[in-house]
Order: sequence, then structure tokens, then C-alpha cells
Amino acid sequence: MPLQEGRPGTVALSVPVWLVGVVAERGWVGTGRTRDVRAGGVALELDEPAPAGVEEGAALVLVVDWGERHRHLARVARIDRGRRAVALMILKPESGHDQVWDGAVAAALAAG
Amino acid sequence: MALLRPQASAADPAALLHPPVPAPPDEVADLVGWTLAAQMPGHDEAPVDVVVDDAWDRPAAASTAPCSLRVRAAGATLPEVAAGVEVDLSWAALGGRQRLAATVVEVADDSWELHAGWPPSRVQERRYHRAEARMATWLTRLAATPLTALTRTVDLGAGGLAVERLPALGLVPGEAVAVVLVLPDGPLVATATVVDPGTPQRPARIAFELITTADQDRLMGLVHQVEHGRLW
Repeated sequence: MPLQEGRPGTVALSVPVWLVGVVAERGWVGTGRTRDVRAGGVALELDEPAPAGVEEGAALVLVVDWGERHRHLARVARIDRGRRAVALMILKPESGHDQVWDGAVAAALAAG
Repeated sequence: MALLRPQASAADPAALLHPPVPAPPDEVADLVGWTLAAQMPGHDEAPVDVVVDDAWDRPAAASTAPCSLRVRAAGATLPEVAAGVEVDLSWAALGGRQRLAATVVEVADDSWELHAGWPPSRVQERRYHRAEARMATWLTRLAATPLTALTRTVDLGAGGLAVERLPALGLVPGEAVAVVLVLPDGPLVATATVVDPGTPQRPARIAFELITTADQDRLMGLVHQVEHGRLW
């Protein structure tokens, strides 16, 4: 899991992710990769543009493959006009893995 | 104790109209031959297991009606009671324990005749109350390649839900899934764990893992509405 300095306050990181949400009152699964992470949040690039319905404020399940899969409950914080770059806020990290998430980010930033 | 009703065959059109989910017996005659726990309020002794030998005054469906049961002890002898003693009968059933309040009307050497009101009530032992409701639900497997399937709830509450079985997903106990529900006030997304993948006779049971407090509040409100007949 290579960690590099990303945008200010973030760590560049590219690992596979899945998103599970609701689109037009139906389940939706999207795939992509993280772009960078920060404490309590992540920016990612989707493989396909997010469909209408995945909007700012929408709740999603975020599955991050860090080598093992971690599941988090997240909310869409930003979505760009191309609908492929998405920023998520972590609402509820998988039990025991919030330290993995925030700890890795804090350690990398401190080291940088 | 098996609580399975005869299932319709695959060729039976009824099998297509009704999901193959067993329901608790809705007729008192179905209790014959079953072992029930009998508890007498005011008696400190542990509940005594009784077997229903006969049941009659079959009530009309969906109405409250009296019924009569003759029971005998399943193991040891029946405790000595007088006519008029109240007895609580209970048994395990889909969706929780069923309870029937009864009165001893006749005491014989080895059996009691009981009069009770029908139908039984459900005793819930969960932390969060559940309500029976049929809602579209999408389940997504999270432990392997994402795979989503549409099903329907059998019951739901703030702690989890039961859904019609999903053989296509091949769920296993302990597996993580994402749950998408479309509630009347908007969608709900949560992660959950498969407690029981179900069988053709039993729905799959799923416990929420990551769910926001706000969404739990919404589900509790929904359960309250369903229980009070304001929805469905």
C-alpha cells in the first residue's frame, strides 16, 4: 500500500474501491480507485461516470481494498461535473478500522 | 420443534403467487402434536413442557375467537392445579415466540383442558422491535466480486431484517452484505452481516452492522407506523 504525499492534508493512494448506493430507487454498484485520502475522507475516481441519483449528500457503502477489504458508511461530499471524481466523507468506519484509516494518513503526513 | 407447513410443489401455481416462507400456524388445529411451554403465573416452578393432544373450536381466520386445547405433560407429570388457573402457553415460531393465554377448565389425571383466545400474540425478544413489512430490498455481496440481487423483506427493524431467500447470491453465515432499502421517506444504505442465509422454508436473516443512528431512528418510526396500521 504505497502512501505518498498528495494534495495538502492528504496522502496519495491508489487502491480499488467499490461503492454501493441507490439510484432511481434501485441498488447501484460502482467501481473505481482512490486518488487520495485524508482523515475521515477520501477522493476517488470512478471507472464509469456516476449515474444521476448519486448526488452530494447521498449515503453510500464504501468498500476499500487495502489488501483486505474494509467496509465504511460514507456520504458524497463533492462530485465533479464529469461525475467520475467523487469526494466522500466517512460517516461510520468499519469497527476497528478507523485507526487504520486515520492512523495511516496521520503517520504519512507526519513523516512527510 | 419443526414449524413447517406443507409446501406447495413447484408445479403448483400457488407456489408462484406466494413466497415459500413458512408462517406460524394460523389455525389452532395445527398445534396438535406440538410441544409447548406452559407457565402458570404465580407459580415459581420452571415452565412445564406440554403436548397438545387435541384442539378444537377452530377459529375463523383473522378474527379473535375462543379455542380449546387438551394437553398432557411432555415428560414429567403435570403440576397439580385447580380449574380456573391461568396458563401461558408459548412456542418458537418464525419471527419470534408465540404466546397464548389460556385458562384451565378441566383437570384430569394426566391432562388439562384449556380454553384460550385465538390468535396467539408474538413475544419479541430482540433489542429492536420488528414489524412484518414487504419492501423491495437490494442486497450486495461485499466479500467477493460485487453481486447484487433484488429481494423483499419479510420483517424489519432497527437491528436488522429478514428477507426472502436469495439462492442466486449464495450467501453464507457471517458474510458481509450491503443493504439498500427504499423507505417511504427516502433510501437507506447500510452494511450488514448474514446471520442465516435461509432455506426454502425459512427466510434469510440479516443483522445491521454499520448503520447511522438517524437511519435506525427512521426504521423505528417505520416499525411504529406499520404496527399501528398507518402503512401497508
